[in-house]
Amino acid sequence: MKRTARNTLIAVAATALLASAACSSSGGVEANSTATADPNATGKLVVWLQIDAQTLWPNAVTAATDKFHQAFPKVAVDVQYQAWTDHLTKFDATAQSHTEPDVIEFGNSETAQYITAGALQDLSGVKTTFDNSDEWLDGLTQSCAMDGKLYCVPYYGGDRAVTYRKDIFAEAGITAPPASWDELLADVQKIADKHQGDKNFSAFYMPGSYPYGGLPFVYDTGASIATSSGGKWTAHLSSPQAQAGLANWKKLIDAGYRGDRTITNLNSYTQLVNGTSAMFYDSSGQMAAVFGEKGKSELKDKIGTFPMPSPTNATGFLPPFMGGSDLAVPHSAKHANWSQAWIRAFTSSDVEKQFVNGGYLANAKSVVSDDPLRAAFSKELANTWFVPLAPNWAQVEKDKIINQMLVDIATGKPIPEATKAADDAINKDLNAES
Amino acid sequence: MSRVSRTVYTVIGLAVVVIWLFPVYWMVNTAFKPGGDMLTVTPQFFPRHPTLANFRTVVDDPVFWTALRNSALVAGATVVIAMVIAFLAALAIARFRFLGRRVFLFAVMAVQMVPLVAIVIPLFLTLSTLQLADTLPGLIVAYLVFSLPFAVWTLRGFISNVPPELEEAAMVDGCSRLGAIRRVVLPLVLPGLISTSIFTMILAWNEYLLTYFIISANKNYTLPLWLTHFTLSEGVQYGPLMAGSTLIAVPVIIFFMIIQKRIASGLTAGAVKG
Amino acid sequence: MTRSELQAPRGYGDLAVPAQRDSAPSPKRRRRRRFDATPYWLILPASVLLIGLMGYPLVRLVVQSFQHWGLRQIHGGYPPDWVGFDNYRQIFTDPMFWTAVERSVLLTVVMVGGSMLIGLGIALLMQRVPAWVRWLITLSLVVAWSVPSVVSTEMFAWMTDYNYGVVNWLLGMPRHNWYINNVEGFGVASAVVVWGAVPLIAISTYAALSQVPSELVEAARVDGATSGQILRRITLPLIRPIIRLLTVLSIIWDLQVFAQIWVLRQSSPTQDYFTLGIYAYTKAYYSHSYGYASAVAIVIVLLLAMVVGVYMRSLSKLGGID
Repeated sequence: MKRTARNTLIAVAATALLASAACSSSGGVEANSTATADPNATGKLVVWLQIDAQTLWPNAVTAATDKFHQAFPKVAVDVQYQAWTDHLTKFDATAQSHTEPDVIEFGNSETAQYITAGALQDLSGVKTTFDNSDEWLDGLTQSCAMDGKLYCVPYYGGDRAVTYRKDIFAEAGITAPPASWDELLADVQKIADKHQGDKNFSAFYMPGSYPYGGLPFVYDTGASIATSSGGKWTAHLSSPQAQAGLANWKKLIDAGYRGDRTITNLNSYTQLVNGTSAMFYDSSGQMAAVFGEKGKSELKDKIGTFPMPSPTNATGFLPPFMGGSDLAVPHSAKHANWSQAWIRAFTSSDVEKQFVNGGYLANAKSVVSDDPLRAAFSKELANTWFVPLAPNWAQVEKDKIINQMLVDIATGKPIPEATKAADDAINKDLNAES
Repeated sequence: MSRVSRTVYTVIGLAVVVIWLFPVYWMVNTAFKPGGDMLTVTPQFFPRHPTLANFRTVVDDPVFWTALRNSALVAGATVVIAMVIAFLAALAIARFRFLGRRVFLFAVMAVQMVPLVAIVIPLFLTLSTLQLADTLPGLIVAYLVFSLPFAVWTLRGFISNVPPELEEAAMVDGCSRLGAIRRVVLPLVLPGLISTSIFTMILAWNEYLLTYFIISANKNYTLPLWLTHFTLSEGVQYGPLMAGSTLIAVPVIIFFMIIQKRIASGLTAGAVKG
Repeated sequence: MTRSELQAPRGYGDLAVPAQRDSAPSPKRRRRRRFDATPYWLILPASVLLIGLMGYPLVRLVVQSFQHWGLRQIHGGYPPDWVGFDNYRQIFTDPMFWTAVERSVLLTVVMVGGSMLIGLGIALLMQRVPAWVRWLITLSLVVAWSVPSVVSTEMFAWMTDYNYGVVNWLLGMPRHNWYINNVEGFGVASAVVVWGAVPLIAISTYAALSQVPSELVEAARVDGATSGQILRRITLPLIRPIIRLLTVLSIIWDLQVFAQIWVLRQSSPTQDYFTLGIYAYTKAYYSHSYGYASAVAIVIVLLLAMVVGVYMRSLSKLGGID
C-alpha cells in the first residue's frame, strides 16, 4: 500500500514538473511571425476594448474584424468589453494566469506604468504600416513613446473647447462668439450683468476642482507640469509663467462663475440644458449631451462652439489636454503579427472616421468631422499637451494634488503658496520608488 | 395594545416605508424620464414627460436577457446549495461536540474578514487552475464561499434554539434521526432559513467585483456586470442605467413575495408547544 | 417576577439567561465513548469549499505580504523581491494608514450603532403594527435591499448633488456641497450604509423575535410586567445571540466599507475621505503594489480577528460554545 502510494506521488510530482516546464517555455513568438497575411493560420485573437466602443461605434469593431479576416480568414476574433474601473487590475490578474488578451486598449494616461514594466511589445519596427502614422495626434503619440521606441498605437482622442448657448448670448446683445481673450472677458461681463439678480446663474461655468480646465492655462504660457532629467522629476507649477497662467484662470472664474468653487465639472452639460449657464469648457461629448439623449433635442440649433481664446496669444487658442485611448500588444501575445493586423484594421482611415462620427477625434490630424459644431475641437489639434510620462503619474492623479491646488487657488489662497505646495507633493510622488 | 399606541406605531411604520422606498422610488421615477428631465433645478417628483425609451433600450439589448438568465441560474443554484451546506454544517455545530468545532466556526467567520479587494486576484487564479474561470459554476462556487459565514452562523443560532428534547421525543415516537430533524427542527428553523436565503440571493444577484474578474465572455455575463456598461469614459448613461436597475430589482421582489407567505407560517410554527 | 420564572425551560441552548451549555442531546453524552464521525460528514461540504477555494488565496496573501510584487514582476517576468517585514514596517509608519484606521473605527461605531439600533427598532415595530403595515414594511425593506448597492449609492449621490439634489431642495438649501467637509460627507455615507444595512438586520431580528415563545410573554404580562420590563428581561436576552452575530458581521463589513464612499466621491476620494477599505483598494489597484496591499489585508484581518475573538469569548461566557 505504501509503495504504490509513494510511486503515485512521484508520478504526480514528475508530471507537474513537466507540465510547468512546458508552460514556462511558451510565450515566444512563432516562426511565421512577420507575415502580414496568412490564409492558413488558425487560432483565436482576444481583443480587450473599453465599453465605449460597444456603445458608440459597434460597427467600427465589426468593420475592423472583417478587414482583419481578409488577411487572416481562419483566425477567430473575440472582442471582450471592459469597464473602466478595475480593468488594469484584471489585466494584471490575467497576466498571472497566462490568459492575457492579444490586443488591449489603455487610456492614454495609463500606459506609462505598463511601458516601464516591460508589459508591452515594441512596435517601432512596424510603425509605418499603420495608417496616418506620420500625423498622429501629439498627445496620443507621446503616451506611446518612451526612449525613442513606440509601444502602442493611438486609437482615438478627445480635447476640449467652449460650448455656448446662442440664445443666452443674443439676450445679452452678443451676436458672435468671442475671438480673443479680451472679447471673452467682455462677453462674460455683459452676460453676468444681464443675469445679476440670479445667484444660481454663472456666465461661464468653470468649477474649481477641474484639472483639465485649469492646467491648459499653464501650458498656454509655455510652462509645463513637470519634466525629468537624469531620471529625476521636477515639477514646475510654481514657476512664474505657470503662476501667471493660473492667475488668468482665476480671473475667468472671478468674472463668470457663481457658486461653490470646490465642485468638479461633473455633468457640465446640464448647465446649458437648464439654462443656468451661458458657456462651459469641456469635451465634445458634453457638448453633444446638451442636445442628445440626456439633454433637450430642441437645443441643437441653439448651441455653438468656439476654441477657448488664449490669454497670452491674441490670435491663438488655449492648448487643450489631449485625452483618449491607445491600443497595445501585451508582450505575451503569441502572434504579434495577428495583433498588429487587427490594430492596423481598427485604426485604418475609414474606421477612424467612425470614431469622429461617434463624437471624438480620430488619431490623425487630417481625419476630422464636417459638423460645424466640431470645428472648434478640430482646430485645436494643432497644439495639444499631455501629462508627464512618468510611471508614477497615476499616483499624482490619485492623490488629487492638482485638484487640491486648483481648489485652493479658486477659493482665494495665494497662488505662490498653492503652487509651491503642489510642486512639493508632485515631486514626492513622481520620484517615489515604485 | 391601546388604539393610540397602535396608531402611533402605524405612523412610524409608514415613515419607515417612505424612507426605505424613497431612493428606490427616485430610481424608478428617473427611469421613466427623458434625459433632459433627469437633472433639473426643481426636481420632478413625477415625470412630466414620461417615456418608455429607457426601458426599450434595455429590453432591446440581447446581452440583458443573457445576463438575466445567467443571474437567475447562478442565484438560484447558490441559494439552494448554500442552504443545504450551511444547514448541515450548522447542525453539526449546534448538536454535536467534536474536536475542531471552534476552529471550524472561526474559519467560517474568517472568510468574511479578508478584504475582498486583496483576495480577488488569488481567488481568480485558484478558479483558473480549477478550470472554473469564465464559467457559471465557477461563479456559484465563489458566491457559496462568501455566503456561508452568515448562513452557518445564523442557522446555528436558530438550531440551538430548538430544544433537543423535541427531537428525542420524536425519535421515541418512532422517527429516525433524519426524520426527527426533518419534522421537528426544519419547520422551527424556517424563519432563519428564509432570512438566510434572502441574504444569499441578494449577494449572488448583486455581486460585482469578483464577478468582473472571473467572467470575460458575453455569454457568461451577469446583471451587475451588464450594468457597468452604462458608465462610459464620457459619463454615465443614466436613463438605461435606472431602467436596467429597476428591472433587476424586480425578480428579487418576486422571490420575496413567493416566500413571504412562508415567513408567516414560520411564525405560527415558532411557538414551542410544551 | 422571580428569577426562576425568567428561566427559559431547559434545553433552550444559548438563549437561556442563566448560562446553559449548547445543546448536546443527553443520550449522546452517555454514548460518548464511541467515536461519532457524523459531525465531520456534516461539515465536509463546507470545509471542502472553504479550504479548496480560500486555502491557496490565503497562503498566497501571506506570502505576498513579504514581497515586492508589482507590475515589473507580473508583466516583466522579474522574480518577486523578498523584503521581509518591510511592507509591514511601511504600513505602521504611514500616517495615512493610522488616520484611515482611526477614521474607520469612528465610522464603524456610527454605522454599526445606527444600523443595529434602527434595525432592532424596526423589528420591534413590526411586531406591533397591523398586518398590512408589517407587510408594507417588509416589502419596502426587501425592495431597498434588492437594489445593487452601487446603484442605490448613485441615487444618494444624486439626491445630494450640489446642483440638482432633491434632498438639498427638500431641506431648503439648494446648492449645498455635502462633501467639502468630510464630516458631512461621511454623514451622507453613513446614511447610505445604514439604509442598506437595516433591511438585513430588521428582517433577521424579526425572524428571531418570532421565535420568542408567546407563552413566556403572556405569563409575564399576567404577572403584571410592563412592556418595558418584558422587553428588557425576556425579549432582548432571548434574541441576544442574533443581535451579537449581526453586530459582529456589521463591524466586519463596515470596517472595510468601500463602495459607498467611492461612488459618493465620484470614484476619486480626496485623502480626507480615506478609510481602511479605500486605502487597501488604492494601494492594490492604483499603485499595483500587490505585495504592500497583501500586507494591508493581513493587518486588516488581524484587526478584525481581534473583534471576532472578543465575540467568540463572549459567546462562551453566555454558554453558547464551550
